[in-house]
Amino acid sequence: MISEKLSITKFQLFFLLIQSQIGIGLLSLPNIVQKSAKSDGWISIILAGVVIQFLMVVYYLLLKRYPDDLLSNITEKILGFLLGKVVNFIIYIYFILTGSLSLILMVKIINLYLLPVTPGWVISLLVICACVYLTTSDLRIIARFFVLVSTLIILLLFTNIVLAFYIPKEIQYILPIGSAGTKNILIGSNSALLAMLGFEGLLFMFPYVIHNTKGLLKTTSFANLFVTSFYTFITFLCLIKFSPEQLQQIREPVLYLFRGLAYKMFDRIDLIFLSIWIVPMTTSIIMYLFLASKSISGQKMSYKKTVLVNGVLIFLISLIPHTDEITNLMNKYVSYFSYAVIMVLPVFLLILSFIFKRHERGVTN
Amino acid sequence: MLLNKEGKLRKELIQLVSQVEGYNHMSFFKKKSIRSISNSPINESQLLTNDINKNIHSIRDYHCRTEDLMVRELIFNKNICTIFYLDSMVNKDSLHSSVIGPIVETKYGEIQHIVKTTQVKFTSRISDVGSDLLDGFCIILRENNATAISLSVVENTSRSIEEPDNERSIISSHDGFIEDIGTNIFLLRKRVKTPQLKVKYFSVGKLTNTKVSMVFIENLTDKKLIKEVERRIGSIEVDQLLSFGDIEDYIEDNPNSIFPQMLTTERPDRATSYLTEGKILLIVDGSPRIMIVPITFFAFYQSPDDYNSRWIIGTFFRLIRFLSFIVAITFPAIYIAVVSYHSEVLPIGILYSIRVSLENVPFPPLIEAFAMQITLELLKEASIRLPTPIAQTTGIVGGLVIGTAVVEASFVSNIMIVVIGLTAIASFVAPVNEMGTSARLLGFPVMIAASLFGFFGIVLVLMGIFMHLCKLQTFGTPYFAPLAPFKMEDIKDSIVRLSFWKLNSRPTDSKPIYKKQQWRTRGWKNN
Repeated sequence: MISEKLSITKFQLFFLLIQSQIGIGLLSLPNIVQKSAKSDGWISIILAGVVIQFLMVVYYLLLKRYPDDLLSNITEKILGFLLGKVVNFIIYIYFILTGSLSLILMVKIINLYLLPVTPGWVISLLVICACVYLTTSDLRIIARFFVLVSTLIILLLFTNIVLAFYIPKEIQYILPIGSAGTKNILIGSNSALLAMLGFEGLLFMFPYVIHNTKGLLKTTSFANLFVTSFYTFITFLCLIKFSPEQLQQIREPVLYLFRGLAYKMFDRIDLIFLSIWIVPMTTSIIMYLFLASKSISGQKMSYKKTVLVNGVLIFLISLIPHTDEITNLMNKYVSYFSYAVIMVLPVFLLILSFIFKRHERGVTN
Repeated sequence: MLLNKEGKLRKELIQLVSQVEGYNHMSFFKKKSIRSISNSPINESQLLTNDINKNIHSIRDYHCRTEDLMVRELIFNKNICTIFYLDSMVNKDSLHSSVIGPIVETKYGEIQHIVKTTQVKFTSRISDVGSDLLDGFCIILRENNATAISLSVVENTSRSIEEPDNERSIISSHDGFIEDIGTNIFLLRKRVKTPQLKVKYFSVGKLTNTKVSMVFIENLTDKKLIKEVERRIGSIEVDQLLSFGDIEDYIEDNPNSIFPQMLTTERPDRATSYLTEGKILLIVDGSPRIMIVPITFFAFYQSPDDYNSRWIIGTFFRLIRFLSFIVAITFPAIYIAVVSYHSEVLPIGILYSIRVSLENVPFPPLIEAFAMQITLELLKEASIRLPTPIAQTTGIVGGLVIGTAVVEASFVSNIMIVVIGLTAIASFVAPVNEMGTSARLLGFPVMIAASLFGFFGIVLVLMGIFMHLCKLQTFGTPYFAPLAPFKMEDIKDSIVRLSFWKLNSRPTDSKPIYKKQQWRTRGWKNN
């Protein structure tokens, strides 16, 4: 079923995963986790990483039984044609909604920092055009691009580590550790998990990975480790840089991290940071566009057309006025959907597949 | 289900019909084009006869009774034999000394044994005789004999081997390809003395019959690649093929991309280095530039000099050149974005001096940049084709006089002059001129995006450019290798240049049959 032309290596999978996970979520993450977990926000993120690791294992166990199938085929195989279709549609809606939400948040932040007067629809149109342009090509080329632009993330990580020495810090802000209480930390990791979405792409990329039944868990675990430690590091930095009162008022603390630092050549490093951060934000949208298109593309419509239609759909959804109430509402629905799709469904499918023993290993297509 | 099946059937039927139609269509064109070229009454496959007078007429008719077709009659073996040659195509000295002289002196025997030419061919078809004449052969027709003898007395006037003007090097070899295909292959063979170096000839163009040759190393170059290149060249059906640019346009994968997808070079050392990587060279008779396929983006930023200087220096210059690509694309755009949107990025001191110089300029920065960039292109285009002394004058008038005056008249800010000047220099850094020009052209959309959307526009267009680079494939190999797809082992000889003894495997972008290229390099150290 999977042609050689579409195959990706595990190295590429690693970057596909981190690029789809790292995106818009990071910018406001410290603020969000701080709301509930207070100074223990960083523990929430580590916890979220643990949950993701658990889910990765579930995905791996499930996908290993169907090494040549996309998730949408697996649901149809396990749940039957009709129920499978319904579930696949829910998955599709989830991907479209998540993609749109990322786009809306991205447009909002660009409007806020870089282009205050430019109408939002222009920005989202440009972004979606770029996304559609790349997504119409096969996964291999998407993977190449993601690996290429990952240098930006690594670059930013290193500059952050270097700059971290220069900013004023106060370790007192996070002490005593664990003071927020278990319940609050758990609520915090709930919101952290939402910022780290994207790892579910594995469900649709698995059959394209070369030698996917061997050593794949290691790759995904490394990807998860990278993202979790990256997020934890940034959040930790924000928590010790800003006082809790400050942090509550700053919506995108990551951008404010280096605002105070002025150099001979640049002021306002936050603007440059945000400009570069446009790329990881776009890659997340590309990933969701790809996933949405993969999850419904069948014989009826060619993949390219599906991408185009989905791109238009995401663009239309992003035209909804970006008031805080609407984005919050959307956020809420996306989180419900995400729990259904990334947690409940795979676990459920895994259990069912164990019960029915309908696995396909050894069957060559 | 049934409906679906029916639909499929119908589709197949339509495809079949259209194929048949397409075939008819094609054959129609073929007929027409053949008719349009061969106005001579001679059929392509007509054979020579025993009647010498009839043969003479047929050959003359085949060449449309052109007046530079010379005929000379001689007596040999007590029979008449006739020598034909195209006056313009043969070397008269060698015709006299090696063909006519021996025939007149010997008088008896076998012609093929007494002539002193390097190549002797027997032909019996009039069309073959005709094309041999065009290749600089002289044809001998004998009485009562239906085969003609073709003897090579080709006139070879080509210029001497010189260093190419547009790809000068400081410390590498100073020879260059010329217009003659034979000399070019000689230059390659002189460097790669292996029986595996294979040359394949194609004749392209119904009118021009241009010789195109494909040179590769037989047991190293990917077989699929060879087949694909052969297929693409073989599929060209045109009247004229005049230069390498034509063939480039006909066979490249993405003709609408701004990036050149074939490396053209006049340097034999450069060509050989790609030959030994398992790439294919295409040489068109009559153009001194040869093409190298498949090629990657980074090859355009390599120079033979890199290998002849110390590796640290070579690496440094390569990195500088990549920087130049980025600068050529983004520098004016960043300036425009900073001035019109994000002036808060600059510290107050720099901002102040920029603002002061912008104070009296009546135009928006985009217009300024466009005007200066276009002026620069004009200057370049004007001075390129002029004789050197006048070109210098253009440079002085354009660069110094206009540049200074335009600032003093405060049409353009002096910072803009600095920015455009730097951009132009950065774009000229590329060792292959084509890529530098592409980079400069790419600067325009980035500038427009910057003036419309600031940093966001720059990032978006750059992202688009890199997406495009990732998408490009030439002859089945990724264009942006080894960065996309990322291959650590190939970086050592593309983005940087490490010492020769580290380059034990050749670059894999053109999928050579075997990778290892070095066995013992610094073996003396172990003993």
